[in-house]
Amino acid sequence: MGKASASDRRVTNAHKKEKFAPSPIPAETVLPWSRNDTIAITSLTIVAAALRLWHLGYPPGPVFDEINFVGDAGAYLRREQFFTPHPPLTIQLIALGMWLFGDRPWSWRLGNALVGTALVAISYLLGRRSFGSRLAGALAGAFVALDGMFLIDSRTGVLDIVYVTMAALSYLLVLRFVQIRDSADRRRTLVFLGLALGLCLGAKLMVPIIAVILVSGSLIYTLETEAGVGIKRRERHRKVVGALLLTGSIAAIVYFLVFVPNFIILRWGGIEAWWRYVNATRWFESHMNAGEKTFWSDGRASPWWNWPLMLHPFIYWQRTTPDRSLATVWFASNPILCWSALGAIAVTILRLFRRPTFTNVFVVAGYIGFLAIYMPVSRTLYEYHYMPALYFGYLALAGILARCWRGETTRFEQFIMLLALVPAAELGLGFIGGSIALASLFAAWSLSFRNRGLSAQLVCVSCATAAFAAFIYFAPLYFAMPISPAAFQSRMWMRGPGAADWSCCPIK
Amino acid sequence: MSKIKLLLSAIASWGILAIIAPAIPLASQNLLTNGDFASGGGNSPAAWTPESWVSSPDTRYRWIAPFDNNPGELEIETTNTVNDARWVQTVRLDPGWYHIHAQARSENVGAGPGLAGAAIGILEFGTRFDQVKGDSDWTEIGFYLNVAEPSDVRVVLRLGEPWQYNSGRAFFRDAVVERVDGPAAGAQVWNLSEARALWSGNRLSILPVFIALSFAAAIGWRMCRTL
Repeated sequence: MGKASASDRRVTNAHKKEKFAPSPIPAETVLPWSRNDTIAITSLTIVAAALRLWHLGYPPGPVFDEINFVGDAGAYLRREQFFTPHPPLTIQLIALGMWLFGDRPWSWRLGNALVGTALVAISYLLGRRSFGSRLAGALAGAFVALDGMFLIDSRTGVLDIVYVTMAALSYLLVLRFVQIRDSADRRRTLVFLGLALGLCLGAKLMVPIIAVILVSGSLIYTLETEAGVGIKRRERHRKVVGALLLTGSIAAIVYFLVFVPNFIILRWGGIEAWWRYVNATRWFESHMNAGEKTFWSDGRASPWWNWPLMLHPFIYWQRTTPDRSLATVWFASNPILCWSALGAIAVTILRLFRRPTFTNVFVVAGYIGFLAIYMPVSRTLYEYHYMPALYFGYLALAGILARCWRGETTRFEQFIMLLALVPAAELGLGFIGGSIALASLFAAWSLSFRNRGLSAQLVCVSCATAAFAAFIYFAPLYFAMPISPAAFQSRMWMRGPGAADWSCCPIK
Repeated sequence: MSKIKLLLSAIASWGILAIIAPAIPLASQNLLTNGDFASGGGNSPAAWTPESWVSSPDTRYRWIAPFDNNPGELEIETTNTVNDARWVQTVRLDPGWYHIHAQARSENVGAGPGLAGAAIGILEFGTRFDQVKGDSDWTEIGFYLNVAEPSDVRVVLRLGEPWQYNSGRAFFRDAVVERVDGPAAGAQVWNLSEARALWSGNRLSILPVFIALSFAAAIGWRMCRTL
């Protein structure tokens, strides 16, 4: 610790001396690991595992895109050639489950369930490190654990949870890099960072490039702005080049290693076959982008601007049971969390103007970056494409609510966070019930103004409690638990016509 | 004398046979085992294996044994969901041309664009074959395959394809793989070598990539000794 402090002082002095060096954005304080951390991360992991593993074999057949990716995994095991535009890591994970435990639904889904559980633990560590707060870590982990999209993607054999988890791991590692000073430790961190980024790139086509840009930008910024005493610009550039070379090369090695099973099992002919895969993918994507409205186009699709408002989640799977109940897998976020995350991003952007921290810049850049990558895309897009951006939304939400708990937010910020609860109250409780609930909430908040800490804590508790209640309320639709058609309809808060429709298109 | 007659008649017989033989279609020999689906036990036809792209309780396979004057049939049924479901048999083919065909009919098979119907084909990536969709009566479907070197080929009777999954019921009868001199004019033709060339190449060509990247990583590691 003493060594690090001395190093920190050197860094500070260096900035005083280096006239032209850009001023660094402060990173949050690093917390020492405590027993509370162990308890929190263990509890979150147990809860997340229970939610992700419970009744994993139901539905008993393919759900949504499982027809593609579980099929691809089966083709691996049969040594049958197949084409998917996505790099094969997640498909290999599904195939591994099938190889180990047989071709049955729970074994298709087991790998994703474990990865999705790991994401909750990573989110705790990331939230804790990002905001220097155990509460922020616990909230970040809990939000990911209780969100419908993250939960359902962990319980089905589809792609997104794996690359989102690897991206989260790379955010954690880059933040660690920013916050530590020991050269050897930093170099080791870069190796693991390359590993995480390679796995991220190996799990989904194109989208992880935003994670790579975020991480690379963070490395460049950190190394360029924290020059030590007497370190010249050239030396700084050497560090930047070295860090990017080390991380990038390892990421590329891991990315190509992901394809090795294709070379061995599917008898792909080396780099030539990989290049043909790249060209086939380009053809595939260009035909999708060319607006060929054939089997790609369906009512479940939604444009990027729909996602933050949660206007168009859709049904992954639905069946009528013999007693006329409806069992549904509804791919949707937790509405309280989704809308609150949007409020938290707004608050975080406002905070950037007052006190830009590394974390706040990183979170806002990540959120906007993962939305921006879809803005020019003309092919059909779906709500699940919002997951990597929403992840940053949950980080922001955890940070803001933790600050609320500590009484470090302004009334305006608290007001924005309460405002995010309005649509859920009005849609979920009806106009009269929702208005009464909101009036009571805002009245209680106003009455607590005399104690600033209390009013902020009220916001924190209100958001967290409402999110938990919403999870319980929507849980039957996340777990395909049979409910009456009336109960199903009551949960469809938006029913169109137009973009705002939650009940779209059960798959036959 | 009788020996001479016998010899002459033998020569004449061989001569006639030599003249007639090219005219006898090689096609008469079905290289598929149990291509007429006449034998089997329970719900399983001999020599054919059911295989689903994704295992699903909503995809079912049935062997309909011959009865009265009706030939044996294979059925695939996918309801409530979509799938690529097939009956599969592997055959060893020597170099040459082959006509691979069967009769198929469909019930309630999705007919929209991007939906693959009932077809006989080979399990090679990128190949597409004649299909029947919607509600159709018995239809002869098939194609010609050119084989350049002795190969194991997986012949499939299928409903749906990867990325073009479908549902409904498909029935097949009289599946045949027969050797022919060449393809009929205007018929669908596939070349096995070309189909298998898509992912071909030298597997070891990936090694220089790993070596170059490892070298770059080592340089990066060295450059990062002080950070």
